[in-house]
Amino acid sequence: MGADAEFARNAIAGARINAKKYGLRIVYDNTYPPATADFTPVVRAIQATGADVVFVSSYPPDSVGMVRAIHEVGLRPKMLGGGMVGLQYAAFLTKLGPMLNGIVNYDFWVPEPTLKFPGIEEFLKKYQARAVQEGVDPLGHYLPPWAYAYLEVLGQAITATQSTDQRTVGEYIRTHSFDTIVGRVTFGPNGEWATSRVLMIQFQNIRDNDLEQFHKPGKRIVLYPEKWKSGELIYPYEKALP
Amino acid sequence: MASRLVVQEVVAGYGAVQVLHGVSLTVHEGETVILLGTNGNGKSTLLKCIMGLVRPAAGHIFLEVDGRRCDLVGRTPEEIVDLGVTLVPEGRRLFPKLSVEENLLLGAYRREARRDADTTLRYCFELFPVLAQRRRQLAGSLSGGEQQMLAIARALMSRPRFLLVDEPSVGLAPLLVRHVITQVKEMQQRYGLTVLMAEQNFHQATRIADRGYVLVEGRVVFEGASAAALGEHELVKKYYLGL
Amino acid sequence: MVSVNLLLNAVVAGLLVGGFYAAVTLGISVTFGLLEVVNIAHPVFVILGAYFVYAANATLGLDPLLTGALLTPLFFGLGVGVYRLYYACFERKGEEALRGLVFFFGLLFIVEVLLLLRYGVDYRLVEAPYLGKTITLGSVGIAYRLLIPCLVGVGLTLALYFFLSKTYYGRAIQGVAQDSLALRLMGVNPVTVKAIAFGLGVATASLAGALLILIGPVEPSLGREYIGRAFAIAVLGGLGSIGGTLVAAFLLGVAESLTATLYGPSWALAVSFGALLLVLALRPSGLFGR
Repeated sequence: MGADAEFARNAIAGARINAKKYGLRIVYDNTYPPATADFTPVVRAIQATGADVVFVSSYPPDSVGMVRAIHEVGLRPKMLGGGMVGLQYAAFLTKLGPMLNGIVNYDFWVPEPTLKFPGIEEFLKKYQARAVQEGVDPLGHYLPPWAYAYLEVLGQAITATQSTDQRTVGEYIRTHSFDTIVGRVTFGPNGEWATSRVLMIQFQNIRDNDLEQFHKPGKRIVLYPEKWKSGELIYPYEKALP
Repeated sequence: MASRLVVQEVVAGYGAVQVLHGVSLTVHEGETVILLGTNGNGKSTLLKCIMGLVRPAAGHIFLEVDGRRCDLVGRTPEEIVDLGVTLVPEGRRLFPKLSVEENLLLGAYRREARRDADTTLRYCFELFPVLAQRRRQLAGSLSGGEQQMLAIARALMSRPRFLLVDEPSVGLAPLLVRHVITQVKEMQQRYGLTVLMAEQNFHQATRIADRGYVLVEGRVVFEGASAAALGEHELVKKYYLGL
Repeated sequence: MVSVNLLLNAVVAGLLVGGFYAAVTLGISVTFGLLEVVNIAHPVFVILGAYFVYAANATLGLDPLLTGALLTPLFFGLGVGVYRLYYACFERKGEEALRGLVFFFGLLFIVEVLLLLRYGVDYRLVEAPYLGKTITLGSVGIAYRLLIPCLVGVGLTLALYFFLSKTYYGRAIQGVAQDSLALRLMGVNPVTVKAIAFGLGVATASLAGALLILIGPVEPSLGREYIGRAFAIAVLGGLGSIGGTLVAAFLLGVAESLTATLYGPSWALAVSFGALLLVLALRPSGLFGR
């Protein structure tokens, strides 16, 4: 289930390939148009199919609409989530609170012990202090660390090559590894990270709508990649609900 | 106390075209006065000047109520309606997508009219029973005669002292013209209205008129002190009576 | 396989969201439908309302609906001001058709950019104690998040309907676009009446904004996504018909919900706009157009 737009369509295409690979039968495959105000009809239709795994690829307002509709309708698949944009924002985390429990979703950085790379704490401290004044996301876990890491990579490459020539710097970046606040970064031949660094996390043990809890580990458990795994998947979905 | 409507030496027109060349007339309280004249002689323009829809280039128009003079030139139509002057315009100007009743109630928008809106409405329906039958129907769906009745009734709803009527007979069958003009007289008597009516149908108009003016090419050419006197005038004989 | 239960829930969900659509559309039914002012900026007034509601909720903890209701006089004033400006710049000179459209488009972008500058591109939500709750009637589940907007939408429609059909101001508003000269002959100043009507139309936006942010998160450009749907409902119901707006909103809501349930949501908008075209082909003045 996903938005009728490029990102969501790509994510769903990937989900279809994976479903095939693991021998899962697809019982519902649909997109929704922009400005869908109410997701309860969609969630009910999914519920009627009795799906075990529900993969959702949605944009921020729709992610909130889906999560609320899932709870209003009482959809209880065995696994739920995937590519829901927005469930990383502090504003949404606090507003949805316990409704997030059990959802497995992508993320880029979460405050789990396995992801405490050198420099990340200082970076977040600095960011969070400014974020309150600027009125932007007070957590800054989602995109800021990666954005900062991009600049670290570029800075290290320029320092090492003593050049700003794109070709020289690009060549250096392709052939070297970099230590950043999101860990060691190495690029593969296709220009992406050599090993995928998108995290799959599960929301667990969220008791209320307090922001403070999301600063601490234990609420967004890293399941994948294995190397940074910080806890176990609660399965089926229902068991993660309060 | 007595009140009257006075038009003095009014000159008016549209752009470069001058239509009225110094028209003067007076309508006293309780009178029914007719403005005779064929098309294009300035009857409608004069009524529009009184209503504030056309601004005269020169001259005075004023009401005298209880001895106090109140100039109309320079006032907006809304203000003039508030002073108790209402026009039944040419072309009727109904609200075609509102019902008969809604049209009538809009007529009673004026604050003094709202108080009595219910009784006036009942009276209008007595006067024109066909409007009562069609009260929920859209005004645009009425026949020409019914529309004219509605336009007159709507004007009455504003409970004017001075009622200006612009050619109520246009486009109506002779029997209907008779009916409509009779009902104008009826409401004039009921409410003690002062009526100034532009009309081409001499016979019907003079039935209810106390006196009248003949307008030719923007000038008053004859002032008849009675309906009979009007019939005697040679211009009237020529144009209206075919003599 | 489709169960009765699923269908029933789809219809209820459609009615619920339809009530909300009505709330968003009413302002357009008044300003565009009755006054014939191409007020394409209405959805952004709704967003503006949503942001005020958000701000009051985030800083003072005020209830979204209460804020929405308290803000109506402010939005009424805003509407009167916008109309006066529009009248002075365009309508008085008879230049309202194309330039008026540009004016309202410009207004839409200005409000949007002001919101962006003040609040950024982040999505905003509100808190209210009734948001997460659902009541169950038999096999039909009704979320308060959707029930409340629906009830407020219906209430707003009824209030506006009675105001327009039972009061002198209301009838004058209905008559003003039909013949403003005739209105003057009834002693009514058409510009004042239009300003009041426009103010009323915009006043509905603060409540609709409260409903919008109750249903889901809001960001400054969200209003544009509602322009098509809201104008479609106003036209489907019959321009200027307030009751028609509610019926059309319900119809569209149910059509979308049934399509989303039975064939998949990607067809929902296509079906509702298809229905619009069909109705217009058969009844060019809309369902309840006069």
